[in-house]
Amino acid sequence: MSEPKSGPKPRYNLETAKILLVEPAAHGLEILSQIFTGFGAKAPFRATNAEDAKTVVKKTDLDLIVCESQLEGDMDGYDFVNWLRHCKIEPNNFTTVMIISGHTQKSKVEKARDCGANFIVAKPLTPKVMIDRVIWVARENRSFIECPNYLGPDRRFHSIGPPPNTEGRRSDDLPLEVGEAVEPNLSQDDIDAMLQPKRVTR
Amino acid sequence: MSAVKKIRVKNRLAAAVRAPGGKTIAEAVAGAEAKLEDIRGDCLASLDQILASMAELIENPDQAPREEVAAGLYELSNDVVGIAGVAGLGDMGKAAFSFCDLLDAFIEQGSWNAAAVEVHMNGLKLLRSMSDKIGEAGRAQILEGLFAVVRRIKAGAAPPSA
Repeated sequence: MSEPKSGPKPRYNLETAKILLVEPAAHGLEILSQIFTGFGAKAPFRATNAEDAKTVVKKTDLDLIVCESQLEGDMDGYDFVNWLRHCKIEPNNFTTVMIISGHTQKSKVEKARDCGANFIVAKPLTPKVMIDRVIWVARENRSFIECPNYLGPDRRFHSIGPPPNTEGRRSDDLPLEVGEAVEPNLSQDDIDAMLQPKRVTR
Repeated sequence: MSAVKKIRVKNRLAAAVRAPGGKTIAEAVAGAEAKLEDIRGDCLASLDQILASMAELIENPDQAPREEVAAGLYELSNDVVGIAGVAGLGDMGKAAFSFCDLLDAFIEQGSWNAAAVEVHMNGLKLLRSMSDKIGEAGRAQILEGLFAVVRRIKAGAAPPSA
């Protein structure tokens, strides 16, 4: 994401944002913490496992959660986000979540896709990549989707309809087949009149 | 057909970042880079500790079942992926990512290849201790060698000897 070349550059304020950083490794948590305080965040909440993160979620209304995918204990980062989306603790169940991940095991790719995070950021983390992603998630206005096997931000980024070879499950999904015309076709004059507006003379 | 419900939600982060004041992207990046520079030395020390732990796991393979060794190495190598870039050793991070790829394949296949593991450990040590001396071309050569090993393992072939 680049800033406009002319005019005042947009400013982003993380001073009052309530941010929770979840990372099991001490050095990893320190890296995250330094990046966000460098962005201007004041004393982000820190947790090293899902249980501690849950405690923060229950006590504080959060604006952003950044969570490592691999956590120690019964819950990994994907399980934690899945818990968050279903916990009914408003507004935190709708809070923006960025998962950060080094290498993702093949067996966990589907879990990552379905956990309900807004964004997955690959390590190594760099300040430029992180600020771009933070601004991106701050600008997005995706609805949440709730269905039997998913609760989280709409994963359809573009209006391209339902996945290929499916009917679509949403009430606003249009059928793939285009129906028969119910009125006569427009004449060429009608089309020209629409596409070539004429100057009005008085 | 299952029911799908759309819920409009307020983006709380958007409201927070729009508050007066704040930083431009360039200022935010510079601020974070300065903060990371403060912990660069700690990151290098952490990398050395992790490498020592990895070597210990490999050198004492009888202490734990092979699957546990693979899982332990995977976790440690993934830590290297997260730290190396901050410590200014981006190529070491790539080598660690390749090692994770290899170990994930072992975990998936229930297999093990000591030569492939040794090649990766040697690569990581070299990229940590002699990164500047071997130069960009040397680092690229090491990485290409590691990637080739992983490709061969995934294809079911034996890697070249370590």
